Amino acid sequence: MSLHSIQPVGIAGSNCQIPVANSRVSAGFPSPADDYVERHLDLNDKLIRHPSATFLMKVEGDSMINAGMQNGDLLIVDRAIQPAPGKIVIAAVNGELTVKRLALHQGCYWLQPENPKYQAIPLNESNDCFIWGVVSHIIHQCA
Amino acid sequence: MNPEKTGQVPHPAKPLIALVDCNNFYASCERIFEPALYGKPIGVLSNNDGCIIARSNELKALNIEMGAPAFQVYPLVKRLGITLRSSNYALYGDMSARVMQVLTELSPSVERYSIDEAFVDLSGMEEQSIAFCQQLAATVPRYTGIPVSVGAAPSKTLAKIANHLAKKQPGRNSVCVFQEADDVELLQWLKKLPVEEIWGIGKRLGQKLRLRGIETAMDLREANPQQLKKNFSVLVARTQMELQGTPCIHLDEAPEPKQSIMCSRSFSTSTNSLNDLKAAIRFHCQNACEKLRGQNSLTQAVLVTVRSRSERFKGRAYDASAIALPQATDDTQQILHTAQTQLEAIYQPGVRYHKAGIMLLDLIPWRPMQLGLLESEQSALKEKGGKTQKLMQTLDQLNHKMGRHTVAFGLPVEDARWQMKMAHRSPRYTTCWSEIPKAKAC
Repeated sequence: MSLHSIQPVGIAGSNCQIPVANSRVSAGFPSPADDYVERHLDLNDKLIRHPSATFLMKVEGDSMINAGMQNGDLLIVDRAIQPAPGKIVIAAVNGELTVKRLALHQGCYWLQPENPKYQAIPLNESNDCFIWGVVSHIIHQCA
Repeated sequence: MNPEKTGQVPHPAKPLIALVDCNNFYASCERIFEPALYGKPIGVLSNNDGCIIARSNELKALNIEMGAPAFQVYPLVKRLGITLRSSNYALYGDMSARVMQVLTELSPSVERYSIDEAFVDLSGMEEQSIAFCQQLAATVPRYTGIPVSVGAAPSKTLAKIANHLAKKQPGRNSVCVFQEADDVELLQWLKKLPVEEIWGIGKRLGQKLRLRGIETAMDLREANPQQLKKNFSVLVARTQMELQGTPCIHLDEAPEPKQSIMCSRSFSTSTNSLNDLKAAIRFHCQNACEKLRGQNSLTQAVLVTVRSRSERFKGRAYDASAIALPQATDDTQQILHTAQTQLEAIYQPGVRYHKAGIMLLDLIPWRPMQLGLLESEQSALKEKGGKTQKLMQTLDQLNHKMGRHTVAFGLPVEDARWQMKMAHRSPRYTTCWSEIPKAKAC
């Protein structure tokens, strides 16, 4: 029974396994609990709905701070989810991947930051904007 | 005899096979996480940054040829706004696996043909096939960011031709379906298609066919079958049947995709043993290397694939990663070692696998250009069966007996590491924690 390390997500193998029970026996009686160890909780199952369409990204900056997204946080981005107003999206703006909330205001789409220090960006052809994917989870390390 | 009257002979499903081909695959992979590269000319370099092995459409438009040496392109980079990249097999292998995965999720029957091509069986789909091909062409790019072209026809050879039209003819929107082998549009195209451009025919066979007056695909389709059988191999006869719309090339017998070799097979019973998988990979690896040496080529990257029907494997049917070799090689041991390391990385204990295989990628012809650390021009110029080869053999045997790196090339030279040159490699965005893309929040 081993605790595998988390591997790059996607289709590169589901190795993020957390044993439900675990006991190490060097000699003598095996633990009775071992008979029941067969299932693992796999974080990939919970966090990744579409493996082939899911990518990981790292947040750089604080423009989404009020959405609970801090500098250095890990994002799970699912390209299979349909973008819609209110969803947090990855957008390509001027050749760069940017994370913002998609908003619909007076018939126009906007990329809305979640920090009053930053300005909304209109989603139009002039700045080569397109929606790259939808953020499904934010992972924040706290210990 | 009317089968419908007797009610005993079921109506056979009308054959229809789609070829899904990624557009400029390597260049497209480079663009996914760098949107600034859309619409720009991109060239991907071979191992050691030697020459161009893949081009975006924009680079093709600049008349920069496949195989052009990098040093000839460097001076143009600034003036023409060209982006040159070292090959990033970790990224390409992962993106390829994702594309294949999307196809398997949408369709029951997918045969991977190369790193960027797969056949999908649409037999019996009849009228719905066009909508389905459009769905394939839309879903793969939406999920993976890789644009694809889909061509469908009653046989693989015709599907290959339909795919070409899907890609090249404007207004097709990347999809071209010929339900019937005598579709008027298809026939017109067959009349124009030079015989050597047919799948599996090639230049040398094409020349021989031309000597007998067979110059176009249409000529071959309508040639006298007895004459063909008399003068040519069974492959030509089969290609003729395929052109007429009778599918008869199974994937195992299909012509090798350009620049790659694939060996894989299903197990008679599925297995969860790493040792079994290793044995299978060893077997396929040796076969693949034999083929490689047989055609006088060297490989630059290795891709191991395993498949499973198990629940725990769901959504991960194409576990795959490609690893670039430090140097183009035909050395079974080196290739095998790389393959085994890869296998260990993707193996999941407890999962029952039913298929394992290996793909050798980006083959280049053996020629005295691939210099090792200590090899000089002269030694490399020697005959392939010469002293260098013998030395390599002895070396391999010694290393094999006494452990890797017991004997190795190398002088105590500063920074002289047994490592390939890849000055322009993009990050391994999808396979390496420290290289995942950044989402700007500023």
